[in-house]
Amino acid sequence: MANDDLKSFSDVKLDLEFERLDGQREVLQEAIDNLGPEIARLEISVKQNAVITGGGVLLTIFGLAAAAITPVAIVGALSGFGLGYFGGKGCAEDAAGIADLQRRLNRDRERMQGIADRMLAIDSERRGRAP
Amino acid sequence: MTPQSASGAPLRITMVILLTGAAAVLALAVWLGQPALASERSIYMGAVVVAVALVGAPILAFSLGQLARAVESLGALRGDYEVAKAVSKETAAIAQRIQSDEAAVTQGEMAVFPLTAPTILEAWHGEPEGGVTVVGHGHGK
Repeated sequence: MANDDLKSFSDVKLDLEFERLDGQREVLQEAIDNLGPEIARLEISVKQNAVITGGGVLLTIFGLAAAAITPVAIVGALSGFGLGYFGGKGCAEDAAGIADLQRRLNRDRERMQGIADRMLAIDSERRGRAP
Repeated sequence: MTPQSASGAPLRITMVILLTGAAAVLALAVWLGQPALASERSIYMGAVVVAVALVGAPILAFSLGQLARAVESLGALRGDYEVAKAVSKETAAIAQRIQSDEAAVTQGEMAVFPLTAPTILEAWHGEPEGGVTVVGHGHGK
């Protein structure tokens, strides 16, 4: 009789742990879902910075080439140089943002994997206890 | 740590060297190809062009390196996101299955309960005299 009571108590503990894990799972799932728009925003930002950087590089090259013909073109080259610099700076910020997002994502994924493993362990433990 | 971080630095250095060289060669070629090379103004202008090319090219190459890094990281991030979503979906399915199993077991217990009820009543009321178990008929004693 005492042994049965102990089993019941353990089952209740397992139920509570499962409920807690399920709550954590829902929160994590929401967090992972929320990363989608952030990734989309970074994609747009990288595209914009790619256009700025590429345009800056081209403008610099053409500006330098034209500067040999007309000195005024050096202004174009310098503008292209500035444009490329700011594009690169934006790309560096994007890359840092991506790395941060990747860290968060991988951490969430590992936690989610841990929750799944524990849930399966609880399930098998319950089955083991089942009469 | 992302794999591109390890291989990114040599790639960027190579790009800086290549682009700097290319810009300097291009600027020199255009400058030397000018008919007014002998004039003093052209010489100064050529020097300015080469100077700007030499200073600007490494920074632009660095910008392109950052762009390449961002694009590469973005691809990896997208891949990781798909994996995380798959893990999330799989975990949700596991939770759902376990909860369904539990619900089924609980319902099964409820269905079994009427069958076990006489046993409980019997334990409560005790076995009647004569050895016949009568359930639901008074105290049975």
